[in-house]
Amino acid sequence: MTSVSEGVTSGITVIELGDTIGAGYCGKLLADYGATVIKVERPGGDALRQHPPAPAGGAWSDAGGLFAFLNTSKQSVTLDWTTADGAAILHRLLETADVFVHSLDAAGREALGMPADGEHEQLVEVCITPCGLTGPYAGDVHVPLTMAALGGWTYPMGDPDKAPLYPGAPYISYLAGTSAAIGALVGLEAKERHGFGQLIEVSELETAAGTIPLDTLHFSYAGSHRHRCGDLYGDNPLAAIYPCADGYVQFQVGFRPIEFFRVIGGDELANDPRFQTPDLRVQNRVVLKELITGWLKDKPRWELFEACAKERLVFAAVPDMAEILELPPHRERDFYVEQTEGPFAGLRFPGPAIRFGEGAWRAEAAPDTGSANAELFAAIGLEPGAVTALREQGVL
Amino acid sequence: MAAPRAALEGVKVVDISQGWAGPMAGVLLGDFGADVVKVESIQRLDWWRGSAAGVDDGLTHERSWFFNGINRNKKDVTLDLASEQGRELLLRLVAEADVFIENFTAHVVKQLRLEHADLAAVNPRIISVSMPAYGSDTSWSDLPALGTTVESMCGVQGLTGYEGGPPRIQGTSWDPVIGLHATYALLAALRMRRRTGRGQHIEVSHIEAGTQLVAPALIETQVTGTPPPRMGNASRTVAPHGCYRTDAEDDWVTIAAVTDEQWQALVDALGSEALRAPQYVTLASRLAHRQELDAAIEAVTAGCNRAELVQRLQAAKVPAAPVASPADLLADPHLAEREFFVGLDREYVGFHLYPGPWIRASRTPARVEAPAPTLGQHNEEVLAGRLGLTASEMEKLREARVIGDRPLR
Repeated sequence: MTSVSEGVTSGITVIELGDTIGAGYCGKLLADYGATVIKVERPGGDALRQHPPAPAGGAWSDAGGLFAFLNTSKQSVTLDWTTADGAAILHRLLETADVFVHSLDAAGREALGMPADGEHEQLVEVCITPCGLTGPYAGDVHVPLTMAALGGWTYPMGDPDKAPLYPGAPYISYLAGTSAAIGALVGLEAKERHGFGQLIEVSELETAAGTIPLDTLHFSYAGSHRHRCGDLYGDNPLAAIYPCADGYVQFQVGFRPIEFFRVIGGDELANDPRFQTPDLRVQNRVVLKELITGWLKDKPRWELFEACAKERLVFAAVPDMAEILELPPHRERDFYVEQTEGPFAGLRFPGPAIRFGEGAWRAEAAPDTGSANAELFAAIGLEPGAVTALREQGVL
Repeated sequence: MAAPRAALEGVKVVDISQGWAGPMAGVLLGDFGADVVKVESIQRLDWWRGSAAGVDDGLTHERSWFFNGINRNKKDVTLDLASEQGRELLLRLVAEADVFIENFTAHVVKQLRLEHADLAAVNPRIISVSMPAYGSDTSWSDLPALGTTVESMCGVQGLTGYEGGPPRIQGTSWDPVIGLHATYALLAALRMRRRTGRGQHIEVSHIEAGTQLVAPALIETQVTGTPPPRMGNASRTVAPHGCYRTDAEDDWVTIAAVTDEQWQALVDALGSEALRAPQYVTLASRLAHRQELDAAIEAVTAGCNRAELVQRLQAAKVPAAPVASPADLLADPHLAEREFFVGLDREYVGFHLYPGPWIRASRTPARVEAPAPTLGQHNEEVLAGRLGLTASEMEKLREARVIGDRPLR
């Protein structure tokens, strides 16, 4: 394992336990910037190892693409922490750690002897759950689809005559994971200042509701809120997604509507008296949408993008995934990192989320299941004979 | 009982960012005890003050729930940064600060002469963060962008939409994605500074941080040569996985059964014989018949009260949830019991419930001590109180419109 002594999180040792995107992404943010992150998996491996995308040819080896992305720069040990022997070994690992990231519920915490009040002497315990450790929903089970609905994200999305629409991917889980990584560092800052550890709790539900404050505040302030508006964003034809000749474009040009009209429809549209003021544009929004649709339909995306970029309009082509791998900002900065080993060798993964002026970044290939067992169990004083015996009992 | 201690006690932040992503970093640091001075100007208010503010009576900038929702705990100072005096005063604040937050396009901070080197010249320990949409040194650096357009460029809209239908705007999350990554970065850099004694500049570009969240789709596209299809509420690997009507108008419930145990529990809880048909016994078969399966499930849910149904399914350990509206969230018993929403009384808008801190620290809890500040509310406290400006100097600044508490129009 290469050490990254100059990373911003180097010197931090993390034990990560939990087969969730939140725990995985939290650990990744800490690991890629230098922390030593030891992922504790059940014997047989983290459940996310079986999650798609599958490697090329559909031949599963040790992990799919989601796991491979979430677990860069980590080490893996396998351990059945629900057994007495396994729990004892986990505690020995925790004695070496600064941070313990997990997705255990209240019962799981209690079984491991985590203090109910979070009063750790030195450890920063970071707990990521769907709905939190307390409250009526504390034991509820969720998947990204149900969490997006419960957290208020699904409600304003989709077409008015259809079911509300799932936001497409488990973004809330990533936000909860990032929040947990913040929580870990907040806990370490508190320890530096005050000398104690503590419990940091992040729930996906509160993350979801906290990161879209505008909808509940809109309702509280004005008694109304966003509704499903199909291809429009906020029922505004100048903030919308439209088909064009070779796909879709999306824009928010309400700040500079006349400039936008001039780009897509020339002086004729720019000077059209029906669209000269905000009130007129609202009043005539149906005809405005029809006109915009007509003008865009036979023009290519990137040509429109270039024309709007020249006028500094807030405008996007809607690229497909293959184009996203080649976008100029990514290409110019060598953003993507080609995998050099493992089942995804030769493919490109996203590079650093954050660019630090000082502090290295790495993305070493995700570990094979239990690949650090021998090294790390020896490091906490387990004799080879004891390791063998525990392996035979299914604990390791 | 003594007040709990703050995790970020002593950390001083100068935040000139606007909109959502940048201010979110400031608010999260402030929640944990950092002292955050937000700097705007009467010439250029935080543009979010102009959003959703109602009838223009000269005070709309104080009534924006956009602004008021993500600037709690901050102190607000107005400084005309285009003027020499304003810039000089900002640099005096920076000289005593630990963190500087901005989220303009690269040419703006360059024009203002507030790049990291300018800040480091007065304070080598300063940690600054920039959040350009497309990176600070690319051919797209100066392109304006908003959350939704960056979502598009990250692939989010392309993944969102009904099965077989056009893309839809997700429109919910991208500013928080960037704000959260920036907060993490600042805390990590503060930790590193303890080792090195040096500050540094950090860049969190929207497109690079945002692309992390679509990594599986990017990997799949490279493996198969085809991007993942838009699936609406359905899944390619789980059935049922959908959004179903309940007994009230536009009242919906989401349900998924990932394992066979969950499927069996769902069938039992819904009590529908139609769901016991042979074509639904295995996951592979449920996936092959998923549209028919969704219709069979909706035939049951359409007669159910939503809350009662969700409770029944969750009791059976089946993932289920209502499609919660903003009103539902504000009235949610779970969030209420956990005191998630925080009531704040603010000048010009009165009392409202605000989503509270969602990172909960047991011994250094996040605090909500003050609502979002009014324009220039803390000019006196910060400029006179901290920087020591005299009453006459303050008056001159007001006359020169370097400071103020009403927008210039």
